[in-house]
Amino acid sequence: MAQRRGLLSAASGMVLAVLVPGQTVVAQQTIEALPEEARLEVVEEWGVNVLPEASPRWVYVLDVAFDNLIASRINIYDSDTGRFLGVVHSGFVPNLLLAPDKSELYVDETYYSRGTQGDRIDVLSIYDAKTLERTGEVILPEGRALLVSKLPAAALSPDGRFVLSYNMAPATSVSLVDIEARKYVGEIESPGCALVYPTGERSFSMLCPDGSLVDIAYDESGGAEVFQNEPFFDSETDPVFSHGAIDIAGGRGFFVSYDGVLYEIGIENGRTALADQWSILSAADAEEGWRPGGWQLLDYQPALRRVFVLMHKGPKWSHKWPGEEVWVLDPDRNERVARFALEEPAISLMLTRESEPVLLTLTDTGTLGVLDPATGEQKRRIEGTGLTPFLLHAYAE
Amino acid sequence: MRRRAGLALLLALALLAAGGAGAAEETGEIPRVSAVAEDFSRNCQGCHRADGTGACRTVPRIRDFVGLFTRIPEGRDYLLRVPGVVWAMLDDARLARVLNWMLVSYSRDEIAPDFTAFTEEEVRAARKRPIADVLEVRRGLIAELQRRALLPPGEDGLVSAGCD
Amino acid sequence: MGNENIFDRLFETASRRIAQRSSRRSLLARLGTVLVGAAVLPTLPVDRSGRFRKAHAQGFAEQAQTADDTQCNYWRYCAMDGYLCSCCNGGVTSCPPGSEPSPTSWIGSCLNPDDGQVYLIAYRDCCGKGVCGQCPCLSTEGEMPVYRPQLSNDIDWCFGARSMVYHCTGAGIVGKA
Repeated sequence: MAQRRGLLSAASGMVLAVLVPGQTVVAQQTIEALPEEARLEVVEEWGVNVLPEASPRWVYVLDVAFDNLIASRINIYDSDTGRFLGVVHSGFVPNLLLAPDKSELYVDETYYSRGTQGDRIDVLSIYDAKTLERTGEVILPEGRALLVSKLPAAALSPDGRFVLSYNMAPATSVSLVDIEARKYVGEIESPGCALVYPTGERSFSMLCPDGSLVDIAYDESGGAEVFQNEPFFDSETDPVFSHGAIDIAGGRGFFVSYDGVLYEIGIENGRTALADQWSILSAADAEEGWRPGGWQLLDYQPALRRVFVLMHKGPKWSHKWPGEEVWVLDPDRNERVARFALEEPAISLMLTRESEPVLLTLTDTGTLGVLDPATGEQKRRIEGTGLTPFLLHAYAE
Repeated sequence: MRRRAGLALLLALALLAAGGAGAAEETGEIPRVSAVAEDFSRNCQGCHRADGTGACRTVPRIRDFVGLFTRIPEGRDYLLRVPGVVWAMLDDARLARVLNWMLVSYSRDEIAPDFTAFTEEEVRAARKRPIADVLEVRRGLIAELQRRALLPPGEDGLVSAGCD
Repeated sequence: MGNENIFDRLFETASRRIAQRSSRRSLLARLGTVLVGAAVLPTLPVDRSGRFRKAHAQGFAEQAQTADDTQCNYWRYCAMDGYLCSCCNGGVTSCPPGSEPSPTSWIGSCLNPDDGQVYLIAYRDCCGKGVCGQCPCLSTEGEMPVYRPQLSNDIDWCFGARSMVYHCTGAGIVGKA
């Protein structure tokens, strides 16, 4: 073959020998006799599609791929049309963060250099939000907590400048990354408390084993001040789910407990304090066995001033059962204002961050529901959003 | 000297821990783990391991090690305020008992001669003030133990002989 | 010894726990079962086909068996979340070929229905291979969020292993409680 190509490219006017196995020369002809049509034109150029600026209606579905945890992915859909928009592949039990200016997305993730073995690499991967190209990374030298992906395992400062990545080795700390400088700053140590709930531009809180929040203020060089608080719930008898919701601008945060107590946290200058608590279950609800449950089971929508919670009927310790209903709560008047039966039980929900939001629900078999948050009417159903997707994310308007 | 004082202490601690691991009601194949040993098992053993060897670079060993902290002034405070101790699911009296039992069971040779057993009141006070920067504090204590030649350089209870 | 003895023992143990302010996954849950068992609703006839819908919430001890360690209701698995090493060519206390037992574990306690004894169980992950994928089991009785790490199911407990990639979980006996 090499010889034949050499002949062809040598020049015209020479005699071409066509070689066939088992024979010597079967034909001889001059190069001028070859048909010119053999030349190929480029008919279609290949390009690479680029996304427009992200819509608040796009939903980023984080699929932990429970049966193959080292190969998770983030599938992006337009919830207005059901259209699949793209994918970002990710590593072991990742967390996704969306930059407030919509320019980038960050994946806090773990790899091993030989797949399941080799050198451990904990990394904050940086992607362009429109091209979905990997544009950079920051190595996390002290690692990160390897938890089944959950929202409060990592967070952005409200201005998008810093990433806070929860670390448990098993001593707990928070890794601080300067996004602007593309650089790991250091560990912010914690008195044995868990997860990260941003409360201000340079402050966050963590949940402690005794049922308190610890408030931590940090600076750009990783220096930190730690403020302890009294417990606001009983972590032995009725713990709160770690998927709470914080509205920094509104100065309020919400956590719900296994037994259905909704706690409101007031936030001021990076300090937290219990503001209110009430049972979302009436005596009749409790009698019927209603409980909060699921994974990303609670959200607060500041424009609506409503808390949304996934609820199911079940016994004590059924806190991971999917929700059969969504309950809509008014935390200003401490009352339930609506309840919707879901077509399929959901493990996660979120409200889009816009003035006229939609309610998104996710089943543990990967079906995404798009609902009217006022009526509960399901407007769209998008199947197959992952193998075992657990989390929903969307950019704010 | 040290040994004699140590023995007196051991007796006192053994009394405190009475009703603990030794109180086996059955002599079957599977031992009974009750009282203070059960408290240790449920709260500490998962990471520090039944034999107290911990895990390389991840969990400090306590065997033949943890008693060293009683030999420097800040060490006693550290043992009471380290987050794993503070947040143990035990009341103050039982937590004090577990700490004393742990020292005797895993690191009796390292305990300071003048060490006095942890008390319930002491535990109660310390639990209100968990250490916020435990890694930093521990590094300082290890450096102090090394400065006093109580620990060889390079030995910190996390990376020890046997770590691969 | 008969059932009465089992439940006496259960109640005694659970009461002791509460008195000592030490909530423990299976024990506390069993207290709940014993005290309010009559008031608990029957499990609803919902489709529980997905991962979470299979979560075993309550009453593990009552349905536990001691014969088959490849079933989620094998007595030692009362606080199990993961894939059974017993189904992955490992065992209750052995890792499948090529994986590595984590040096660290988390401790729970389960009732053995044969002798009515509560045993302390060390749940240990086998690590360094991808998910085994056989026999997924999820028991959430007494399970707590990750800020109570010793009682949480959501943490990869391969601390100290050469690779923290999770393969499967086994359950060894620490002793009788």
